Amino acid sequence: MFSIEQCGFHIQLVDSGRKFCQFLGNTQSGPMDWVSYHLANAIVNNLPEENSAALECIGELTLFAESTTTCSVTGACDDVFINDRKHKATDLLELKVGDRLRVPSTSFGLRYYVAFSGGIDAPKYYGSVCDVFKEQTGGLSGFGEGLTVGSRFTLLKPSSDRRSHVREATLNSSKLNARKRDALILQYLNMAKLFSSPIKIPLILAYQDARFTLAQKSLFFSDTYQVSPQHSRMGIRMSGRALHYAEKSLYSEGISNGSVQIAGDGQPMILLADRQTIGGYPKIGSVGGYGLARLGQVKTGDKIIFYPVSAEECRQQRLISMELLHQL
Amino acid sequence: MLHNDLELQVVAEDALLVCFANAKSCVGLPEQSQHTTLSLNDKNAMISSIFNHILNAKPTWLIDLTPAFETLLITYNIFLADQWLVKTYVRETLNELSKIGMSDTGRSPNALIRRIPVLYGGDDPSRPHDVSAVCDLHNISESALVTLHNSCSYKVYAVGFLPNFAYLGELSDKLNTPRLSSPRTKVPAGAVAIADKQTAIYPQQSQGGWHIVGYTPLSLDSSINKQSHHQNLHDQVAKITFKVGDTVEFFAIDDDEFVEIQQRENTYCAVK
Repeated sequence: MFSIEQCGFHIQLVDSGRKFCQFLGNTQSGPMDWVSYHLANAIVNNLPEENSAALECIGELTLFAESTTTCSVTGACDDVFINDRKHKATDLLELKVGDRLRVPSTSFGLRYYVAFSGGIDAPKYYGSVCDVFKEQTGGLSGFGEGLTVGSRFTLLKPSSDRRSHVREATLNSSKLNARKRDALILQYLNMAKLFSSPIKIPLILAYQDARFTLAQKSLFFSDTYQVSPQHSRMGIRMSGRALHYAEKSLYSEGISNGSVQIAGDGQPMILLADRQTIGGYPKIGSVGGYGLARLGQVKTGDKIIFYPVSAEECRQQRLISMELLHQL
Repeated sequence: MLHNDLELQVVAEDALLVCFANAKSCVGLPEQSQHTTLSLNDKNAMISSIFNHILNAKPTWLIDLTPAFETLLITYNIFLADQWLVKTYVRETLNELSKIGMSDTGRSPNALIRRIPVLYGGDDPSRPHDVSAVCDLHNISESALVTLHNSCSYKVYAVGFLPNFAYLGELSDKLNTPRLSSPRTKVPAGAVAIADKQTAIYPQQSQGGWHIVGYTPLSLDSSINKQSHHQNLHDQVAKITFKVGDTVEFFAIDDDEFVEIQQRENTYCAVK
């Protein structure tokens, strides 16, 4: 059993998201920053296909352990503390009965992930444990309200001792292994550039992009857009140069993760994990690959620049990333 | 149906949009065939038929499907499939369907007719609306707006955006209204709204960019009941669950009727 003793802004359960629910109007959900979510699970040896539930947190956290486990913290965090002893984020952390894990808030990024060996045990809704606040579904309670001070949870038993040799090697790390592991993690994080500035976001031109003239598109790709205060797991409203397009009525259609819709005021809005399933504003395309993870770490006032990519490039980024994690 | 009418657009790293916007029907021999643009109803029926087929087949790489008016969004697992595999799959599925004959009737056999009471306009500040803006835009009176909105019956073309949010069509051309230039951050539950040639009811509070013309006192929120282990705690089920193919009709009510129905709804939920 584990309990939350201190909670900053928001803590909720995430896994890689729901299936077969969008035709009912239920959102897909999933982690906002997939790079950090998958890394956190890989460090504690949870396999990607196990779709293990982890914590997605904004603000500081203190967790009290009433059982023993290994855990990891990734994303927007620097040093973490176990009973006031300092550890590096991305280390494999051992928690014993009575230990307190403390994650202070940081000046960079927004979200961090805490994963546990075996994953958090929670009921599934459309194949996923994700808290969806706007639908009041999912999570530990089933009502999507996330975790708060006093919330308690248990873990699933790790399914097998696969890769246990890796775990042993890491725990009793010979210097060489630790160095090799750190190099892999660094390589993985370097590709994603989660906290880089300026923030460059890859965009696949699609949907109604033909309604925008070449000149409008090139302005869109050369200008800087600022993250407005209206950003959440549903989406991010941006402000910057207004885009013009040919007014034409549009039948509402399915919205993919990362879709960038341009409302009548010409301002882009990026639709993310907890987005609506269907929408009718024209869309210029969709953000993919590392861009999605990077957007999970932006804050009000951050400036971003879009650049064009192909869907296949984005897919390749994901494949390469997962390949690296398999070597961990 | 001609295959070159079919647009398969890669819209995201993990999603393909099947689009029938330009689909035509083909009459006569191939050499001398005449092409007429399909009605929205026909296109929607074709979307339903592909949707049902793929949902039944559930290929391992499939993550989700989002059918809408004339499109179907297919979301797939990028570690198990790529765009070429999914495109091939869709083309093969269409071939199969055209062999067994794609359903071309817009109405499924168990479709229902739903009659929805609406208080058009109103002065309650907790229920904001755009009646005067819509009337000004189309240069019509408020009573003309009400008549135009509730004198015809609508078909459910898609369910989505929010749980139990039904896209209804098609609205009279005289009410064809663009979306708000910037979406509202809070649209109250029960809002009856219009956008382009569509109308809908917001089943729960949400953000939204449609022009609001009135409110229904009916409770349509289907998202509260779900998890079986919580049914005792929270056993509130919407009386009406919309399905694609259902027919919806609106009728006007006044303030008193609104309050009366609302009270009845609350009692129903408490008893249930």
